[in-house]
Parts: sequence; structure tokens; C-alpha cells
Amino acid sequence: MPMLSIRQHSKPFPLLSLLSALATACSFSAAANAASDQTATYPDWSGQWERIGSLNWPPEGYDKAGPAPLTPEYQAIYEQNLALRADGILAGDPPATCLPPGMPRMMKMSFPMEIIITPGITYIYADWESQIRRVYTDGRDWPDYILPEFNGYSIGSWRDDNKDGSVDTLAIETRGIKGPRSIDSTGVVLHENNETVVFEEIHQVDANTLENRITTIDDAFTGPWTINQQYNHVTENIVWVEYVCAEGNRHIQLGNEWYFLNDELGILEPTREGQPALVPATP
Amino acid sequence: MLRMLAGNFVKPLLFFVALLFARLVAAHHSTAIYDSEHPVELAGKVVEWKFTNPHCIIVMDVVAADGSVQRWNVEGGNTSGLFRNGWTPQTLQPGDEIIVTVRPLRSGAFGGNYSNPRRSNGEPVIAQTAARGR
Repeated sequence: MPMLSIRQHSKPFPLLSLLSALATACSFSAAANAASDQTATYPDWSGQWERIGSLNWPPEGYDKAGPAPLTPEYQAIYEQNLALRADGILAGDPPATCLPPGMPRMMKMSFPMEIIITPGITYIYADWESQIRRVYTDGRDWPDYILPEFNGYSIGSWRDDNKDGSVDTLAIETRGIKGPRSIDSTGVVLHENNETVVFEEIHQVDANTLENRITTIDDAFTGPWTINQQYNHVTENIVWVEYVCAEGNRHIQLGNEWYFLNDELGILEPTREGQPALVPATP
Repeated sequence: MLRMLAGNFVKPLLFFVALLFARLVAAHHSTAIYDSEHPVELAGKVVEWKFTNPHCIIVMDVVAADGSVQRWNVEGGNTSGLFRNGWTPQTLQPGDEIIVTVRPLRSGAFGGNYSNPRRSNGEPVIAQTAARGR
């Protein structure tokens, strides 16, 4: 089971490992054996896909889905983040300073997505931060060492779930994900040990809808957290817009202090009451 | 009767506009650091319109009650959402007189997050029919 053998490369977290294995063993047992099939007929997922539903991690929103399944430790961190925000400090939302959202948050697709399927690699492009994921479907095993990156290292395999002779479902496992990361912009952060594992199953549910069943296993959560994120197909008048976050970012974090850049005055404006502006010393 | 009709028409329209704008501004990060409890209406002249990410920025001069000029930096939507809804780097020009609703920084500095940009006569800056793409 190469898809599950990566545990030897990372610090174990036995309970979640077990849950992970139980939750995904069935769906990934076939995926593990699937080497690259150069003759496979792939689905046509060209065009543009845009998020359906809330920017909250649960597509139906926390109001309907209930709160994030946080451990007591991370529930306390979440509540602290809310308190800091009320004071003017943008805690618990790393993309606010232009870090990429990373996995799994990038699959929320705040901005539209493009999927480029080739026999050995499927590229998932997110217009937000102009980020790209490479999902290796060439049958490779996990490398001896995974360099942590925000989007992680993804191994995928194609399945023919409806048994019509053409693959229709892309199953992906992602590891080696760098932090800091949040699950969305609400202040729910992922564990600082960065041992997140993400399982995805992407398939088309109808002509206009793609669905990604995303299971996130992370020590900030009490167990695997699964959502079904759907995306609407855009096929005409497609617009892509470059996203360079450094160009206009105003939010500057220096240690525990946050500032709002005023580049006209050449100063960092305070964001919280009683905080002094940061004015460069004149030579 | 007329008033009732107007009310029935205007309320859904305002709700739609609010929803549309919420969609435009929501993507990059939480706006919880701004003071949503005390929004201010700013009327002033555009100094610069920066069509950038993560947010498009309006630099505007606002004449305060005491006659002094406050130069505000306010951020709003992103290029992706705004461009799809008809905005470009040329949409606002220096000297344009506009009104925006601003959730200000909690520090009192002249910065914040804007919504509902209007011309000084109350008309929307961009007619919604100008949307491009889907």
C-alpha cells in the first residue's frame, strides 16, 4: 500500500493514522496499484471551475454545518484569534500577509480553478495567488524525503468508478505540507506540527459540476474532517486575472504587531488602538 | 401605495447589491480587524486608484468638519472580481468625486476597508451591465 506507507517519513500520530487508514483504505486500495496508464481516456475538465458555496471551509457555511471539530487546544487558539482580531490584529489568517493558502485551503478556490490533465501529471491551477499544484499520476512512490511546501506533495491515481472503460475519478493523497496555514479566513488554524494529510476524490457529478470530496487529517482536529466542495463549470467568455499579492498588500506583520502600510507617507499605520505608527528614522 | 411599491422594489435590489459586493470583497482575508461596528461614509476626491491585488486601493482626500484634509487609503475588492464586473485601472481618475462606506482601522489612522463605491450623485461607479466574462 504505497499510498499509506509515507508514515515512515514523518512523525507518527497513531490515532489519526488509524483513522486515516480506516477512512480511506477502501477508496485508495485501488489507487495504490494504479500505475500511469498512457492509454487511458481522461475526462474533459477543461475550461474554468468556480467555487460553489461559502468561503467557510464547509461549503454550506458554519451556520449550517456547525463549528470546526477543533481539539480543546486549538479551540482555545481559535478563540484567542477572534479576540486578537477584535483588537485590530489579523491573527489566524496567513494569506492576509500574502502567504499562499496552501493545502487544503487552496482547494476552496476563492478564485477560479483550471485543471490540466496529462498522462503523468495533472496540474491544478488556482487563480488566487497564481498557485499551481502538481498531482503525480505516473505511478511513483513517495520520495525518501519530501521538502515541505505550502501546496504539499501530491500523488494521485485515476479510477473508473462507473466501470464504463474511461477513468472518471482522480484520487489524491497530499503530504509534506508547510505552514503556517488556516483552513479558511475565520481564524481556524491547522496544527503547527504541519503533519496534515489530505485525501481528495475529484469527479464530475453532472455536466456543469465537479465535486471534490476532501478529507483533512490534522492534529488540530478531533478526527478526519470531510467536506464535499463543488465547483461550477465555466465554458464561455472565460476570464483569467493575474494575481500578484505583493503588488498592493497593505498588511504587514512584525513579530506580534500588525501594521497597515501607508506607502504615500512611507510609514506603517497602527491597526490597534494605542499602538504607535512605525516611522522610519530619518538619516 | 407608491411608497409600498418602492419599498418592495428597493429592498430586494439593495439586498442584491449587498450580496454582489460581499462576493467581490470576501476572497482575500478576513476583514475582522476593521471596525465594522462604526462604519463611516467618506465623500471625497480620488487621488489615486490602484488596480492591484490583494486589494484594489483608493487613495482619496476627504475634507473633515474642521476644514482639514484627510488623506485616506482604503482597500476593497480584488482585480479578479472587479475586472469581471466591469472595472479597470481607468475606472477611477484623479479628481473624481466619490462616496464610499468605510470600515475604519481600529487605531484611528486614515485607512480601512471600503464598500459601496458611488459617484458623488449616488450613482454606482460601474453599471452592472458592464460585466465581462461570465
